[in-house]
Formats: sequence, structure tokens, C-alpha cells
Amino acid sequence: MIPAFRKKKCMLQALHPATTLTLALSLVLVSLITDNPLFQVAVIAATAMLAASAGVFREWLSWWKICAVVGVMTLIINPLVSRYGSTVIWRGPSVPVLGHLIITAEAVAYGAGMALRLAAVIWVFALVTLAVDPDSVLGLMRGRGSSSALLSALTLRMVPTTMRDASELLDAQRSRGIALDKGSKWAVLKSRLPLVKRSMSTSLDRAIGLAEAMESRGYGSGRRSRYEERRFGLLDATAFAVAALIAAAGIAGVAAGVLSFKYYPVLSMRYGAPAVLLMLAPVVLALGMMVLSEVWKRSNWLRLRA
Amino acid sequence: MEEIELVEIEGLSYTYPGRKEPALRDVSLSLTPGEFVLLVGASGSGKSTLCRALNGLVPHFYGGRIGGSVRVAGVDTATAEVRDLARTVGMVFQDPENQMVTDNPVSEIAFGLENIGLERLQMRKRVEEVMASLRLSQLRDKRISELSGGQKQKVALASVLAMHPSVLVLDEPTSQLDPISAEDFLSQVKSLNDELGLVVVLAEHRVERCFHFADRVVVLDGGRAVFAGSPEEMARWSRGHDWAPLPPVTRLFLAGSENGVPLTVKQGRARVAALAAKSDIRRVDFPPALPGRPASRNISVAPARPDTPASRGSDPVCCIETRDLWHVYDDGTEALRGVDLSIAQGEFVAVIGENGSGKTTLVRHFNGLLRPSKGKVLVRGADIKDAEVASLAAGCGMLGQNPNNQLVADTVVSELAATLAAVGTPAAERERMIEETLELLQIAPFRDSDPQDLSCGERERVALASVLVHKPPVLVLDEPTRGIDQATKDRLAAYLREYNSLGNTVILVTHDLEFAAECCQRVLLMGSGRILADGDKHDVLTDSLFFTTQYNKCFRGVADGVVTRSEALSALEAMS
Repeated sequence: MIPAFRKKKCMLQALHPATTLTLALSLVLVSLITDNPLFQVAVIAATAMLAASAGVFREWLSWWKICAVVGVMTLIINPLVSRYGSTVIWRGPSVPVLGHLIITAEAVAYGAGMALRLAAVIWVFALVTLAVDPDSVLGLMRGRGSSSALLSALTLRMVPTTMRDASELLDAQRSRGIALDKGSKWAVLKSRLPLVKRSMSTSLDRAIGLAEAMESRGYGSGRRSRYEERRFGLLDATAFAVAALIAAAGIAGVAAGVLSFKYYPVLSMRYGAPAVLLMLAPVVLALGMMVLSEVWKRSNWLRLRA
Repeated sequence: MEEIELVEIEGLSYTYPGRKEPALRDVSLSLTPGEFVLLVGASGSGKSTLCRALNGLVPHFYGGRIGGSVRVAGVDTATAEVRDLARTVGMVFQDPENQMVTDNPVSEIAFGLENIGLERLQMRKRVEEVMASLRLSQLRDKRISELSGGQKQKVALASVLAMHPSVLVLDEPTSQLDPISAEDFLSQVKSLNDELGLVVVLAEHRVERCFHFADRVVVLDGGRAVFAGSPEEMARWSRGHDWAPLPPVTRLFLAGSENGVPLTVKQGRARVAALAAKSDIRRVDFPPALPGRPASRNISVAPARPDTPASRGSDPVCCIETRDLWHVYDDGTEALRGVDLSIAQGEFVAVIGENGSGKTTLVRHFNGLLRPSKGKVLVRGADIKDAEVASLAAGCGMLGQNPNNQLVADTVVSELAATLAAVGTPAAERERMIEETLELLQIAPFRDSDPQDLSCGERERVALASVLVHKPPVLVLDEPTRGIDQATKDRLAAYLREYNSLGNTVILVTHDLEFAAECCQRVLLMGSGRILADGDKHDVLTDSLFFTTQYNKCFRGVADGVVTRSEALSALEAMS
């Protein structure tokens, strides 16, 4: 099961949700605009540090399975469909759709680079899932968006309940001797169709119950007020600065060609002090956030002024 | 001084859309501030509908036809919106899962306050106040999905209380809770009634936990309020109405009691002590001592030992056995810790214990729904580790906590036919087996009905029928009495006893100790994933301080060993 958000005493959770999202967005942005695999590694390392500072490193790491599946698929598919690259490492037979199979070292490297990029994005998403309260993110929406936010919150909340209902339904049917996984795909589908109806009916009952409960607690009676009002503070300003610096490092590196990494026709990369400095930027900035987070935990002065 | 009426119901009749029969018929009732009113009646008697009429959900939310009027604090609910009545009438529903909007207790409690546009400072004060008073403060950083059923229901109560209602309506709020959580919840409600003067309207099936709290009991039957009066008056009234729900201890002393009847175990104990003193009896040993057990009685009453495989003298055939059974869930919870157990064919076993003690986890191993983390489960001597659940179903039928999960077909007959087809019953025998089961469970009149259109009790019987139809030699039921009325419960007990008398094994997971004592011969008490006590129901229940019946608590020290109603009546007879 994928671990979910848990409230913890950490700086990342004390930030305004918009700040944390901006920080995450800056990491995703630089990951998407740069081709350099070393920079992708730096983004992943920075994300890991932020996860550690939020006390969710183990849960964050458990997303490696998703990264591995997506990464392996990219690593396999790209060399099969790409005809670029000058270093041929294998010539295969002709297959329908794909034609002659030619695997080049550059295409394999490009697949690996893409896998790293996807892993970086997935791990940033994991960090947001684990360290940012979904209710507070949805609470960012105001006015007309608030109904959609409420609907999203309800949907998120009902997911575990619906999954549990479905699991209980399947168990009940298996206990009656109904084999739900036997036979052809059509037979499996046919045996499960009545359960879909039952499952829908249970969800509908729950939805009606929830609507009743909401109306009984005055939902829709007029303009709503808000219980939580998060304000931006000193720490938010710091985190915004970190996000801006990470984004600037990536954009500047790409614009100036310092972070340039070419896969085709042969692998080539620019070396030099500026490249190293820019690649280290996300790691150093995340390290700074990590240190600040530790200070935040120990310093009442900082917590009270944040 | 004349009391001001906070709620006035006059000639209320209501029919749901698409229904011919009214759910409420000419109900008139008035409630004064600070009153605690208990609504009782069978399933479908109109309790939930009456609750919903108090805050305007009926008719605003459901539609339908309404006659008469409901006025709350002078406001006619037919003309006011439900959301506007929310400040006056707070309502807690049956299933806590269906009333949580957010995923955090604090924002959940604040939800209603945000809806009525309260200022932030006011909201904060109210949220903190209700959290402190309901002892929820330690849950503030938890997610709703991490809370137990009892905690969720308390959050629901808190979210309603924060709106400062004058009337608190609770529609079977404890039906999804274990006894300890239920008792805790109802005690909180009672203290709110005592301390804040809230009008409490509570609809309940399990009246033993709240009967003595009530200032007034209203009995509903077929949508009519057939009785309204104090608990003592209701007990007297019920002499001519056997179906009326009463706490076991009250019902026990009902016959022949000219004076008041006891409403609580404490009063019951006093009555027993008085009777014992009057008849100069120091101790009644009940049931008579077993061979090898010391006999220390002054009076012996009729033997009530059940007919067990062992008592029949036959060599019991072991049908389910577990050896050093451990089960560890993915989150690391050790639900079972080295359970060694043997159940013989023909036994009727109750598995009791608090929530999380491992009861359900244990029985879900019997048909392979769960696999041991360590140890073995043997069914008729064969290890079932590689057997599929569907293939084990022919030998072990299981009815889960929610009967609705059992019902997926369009008619009752096709529901039963699906089970027979699944377990491979020859086509020639199916019709006969279906007819037998329809007769046994008295559901033949509904044979062509859609199970979803039936009442709660009827659905429970159809769900049971869908398991019983192929006559599994082992039948496992998980909490079959949760949320059902006394009449349905009595019928269920009768079916199960009959099924067991045919030589089948019945295993019952339950919190309902009275039901367990009436049906079973053997009781397993579980705690922390281990079997804490295992033996004859008299031994296990008598030896427990809390996990025992009201009868046993009443007669403790005077007639030890009394656990069922018939035994209690015999003991009373012996004392008189």
C-alpha cells in the first residue's frame, strides 16, 4: 500500500502549502527542462534531503518500486523505437510495426536519462503526497473553486472506504464458493459484473448518507467562513528563495548551455566549474533547508517567528 | 410552572416517494428542554424517519408526502430549510464512515461552523471546547481514516455539538461500535444531557445500555407511536407486548413483579439479594456441578447442560484445528499470536473479546480468506495453505459483518442458485435445496423479490440463506446481530440452533454476550491475539468480570453459573 500524508512536527509541514508546492514545482521544472542525467541525480538527491527533513524518508524511498517499473519500461522501449545513435550494440531481426531492430548505446543512454527524469518527477510527487496535507492544498482554492475542492477532498477521503467495501464484497463472494479469478478473461469479467452493480449501489448509499450529513450540518446555507488561514512568514520567504534559486540554476544552465548533455549522435557533455556549481545548486540548497529544518525543530525563536 | 415545549410534533404522517405504506402515521409528541427520549421499535418501525423529521431531512431531502407538523423552537420544519435548522437540531447518524467530510478531526469539527459562517475566533473556541470535553484532543493530528469506529463517532458527535444545538438527535449511533466504545459513547451523551440540558432523542436497538438513561421511552410500531412514558411505565406496558425491546434484566423480573422492575444490573442484583434473603438461601449452585467439580450448593436447579458431541459420548471428529497460528498484517500488527485451537464437528462455539482481539482474523483463516504468517490451519485434518477460498466454501460457509455484501443477484432464488452452482451442487438437487432453505428461513414469500428491496431483517435472512443453502458442515458468522432488532435476533438464534442440532458446526463471532450464551455451548475469549479462555460457556462467562451476561452479573454470588434467561428463571423459581 502507498503510504499517505501524516501530520508531523517538521518545517516543511509548517510552511504555507503554496510555498511547499512552489518548491516542488521548481524541482519538477528543472528536471523537465534539463537533459543532463547528473542534474537529474542532483534533483533526486535534493528531494531525498527534503523528505529526510520532513521525517518521511523511509516512506518516500518506498516509491522506488513505481520509479523502477516506469524506469525499466522507458529503458526497454526507447532503444527499441529509436533509430538514432552511432554506436550500434545489437542488430536484431525485422519485427512487425518496429521494423529492423537496431539497438544503439546512445538510445540506451537516452532511455536511462529519461528514466532518471521520470524518477525525479515521481519522487517529487511522492514528497508532496507525504509532506503536504491534501486538505490544506485543496483549501487554497477559493470562491467557485471551493466546491470543486470539497468534492476532491470527499473523493480522496472515500477512496480507502470504497477500496475496503470492494475488498469485503469480493471476500463475501469467494466465501460462497464463487471463483472470481478462474477461466478466460471473459469469464472473469462476467463473474465480476454483478459485483460492479453492488459496488455502485454501496457507493451511492454512502454518497446519499454523506449528503444528508452535510446538509444536516448547514452546508449550502450561505457564505462559508474559513477555520484555517495560513499566512506567509519568514520561512516561506526563505523557501520561496530556495525554489527561485533552484529554478534559476536550471534555467540559466540550459540557456547558457552549461548543463548541456547530448545523447545523439554520440554522447557528449560539457565539463567545467560552472557546470559542477549549477549541478550542485539543488543539493546545496536542499541541504540548507535540511539544516534550517533541524534548527527550526530546536529553536522556539525561529518557530515563533516563522 | 408549565414547561415550555422545545419540539412539538402534531399528527405527523409521512410516506416516502414511490411507497404506498406510510413510514409514519399520526405521530404526536412534544419534548421539553433537558429531556432524554429513547425511541425504540423493530426495524422499519419508523425510528429513523422520525429522527429525520426533527431536522427537516424529512421531507426536504427525501421528498414524499407529509401531513401534520413538526415545530422545533417555534420553527415549522416543513417551511424552514434543513441547513437553517442545523443550528438548533444536531444529528448523528448510524455509520460514522458516511458522515465524515474531511480527513482530519479538527477540520471535521470546524466544517459545520464554516458552513454557518462563524468567525474564526469563535470557531477556534468552539472546536477546542468540544475536543476537550469529549476527550478528543489527543486525536487532533490523526487522520480520520486512522481512527477507530468509536473515535469516529465521537468526532461526529463533536462536530454536531460545536454548532451548539438545543436538540441532539442520534439515529442508532452505536450500531457499528463494539460494546465498550458504545458504552463510552452513550455515557458521553448522557453527561451532555445532564450538564448542558440538551434534548436528546436517541433511536436504539440495544436498549440495555441506555434504557435507564431515558426520561421517556417512545415505542414505535408500524409508524405509530404506540407508547410514550417513563422506562418503568414502559416495562409494565410491555407485559402485554412481548416484542417490545427491554434490557434482559428488566425482562427477567417482568413476570409476577407487582412493584417496579429493575432497569439496571445494580437494581437486578438488589432484587436477587432480597429474594435470596427472603427465602433464606445463601447460595444456589447453578448449573449443578460437573463430575469432579466440588458441589457446594444449598439448592440445585434443573440441569441445563447442553447437548455437545462430548456429552453425547461419541468420539468428536475434529473439523477445524489451528497449530501455533500467527497472523501479522502488512502494517506490522500481530493480530494472532500462536493460537492453538481444535473445534469438533457439531459444536456451537462463540468467539468473544474486545475489538482488535483477533476474533475476525482467526475465523477468516478457517476458509482461507487469510493465510497464516506462521503455523497451520487444518480442516478435517488437511492443511489448507494451498487451497483456494472458493474450493473451501463447500466445507465452510461464512457470513460476514455486512449481509449486503452477500447479495448481488436480482432475485432471492437466483441468489441461492448462484451459491449452489458455485459449489458444484448437481442441477437436479438445486431446486429442492432452495425450497428447503426458503422454508427454513421463512423467506419463501420473497422468492422473486430483489434482495435490495427487502427490509434489514429480511436481507439478513436472505444473506444467511445464501450461505446455508448448500448446507456447509461448518458455518461461521461474524457479528450477525449487529444492528438488528430483538425479533430478528430471536429468529436467527432459532435457525442457528436448529442448524447446529443437525450435526453442523456453528462458529459465531460476536459482542452480543446474551445472544452467545443463548445459542452456544462453548465460548472462546480472545485478547491481544491469544485465546484467554476456552471452555463451556458457564465456566468462561462465570469466570469473567466484564465479558459475561447481565443475568450472570445479577446472580453472581447467589447463583453462580447462571448465564442464560432460562437458567435465570429457573434460579428465580428455586428461590421463590
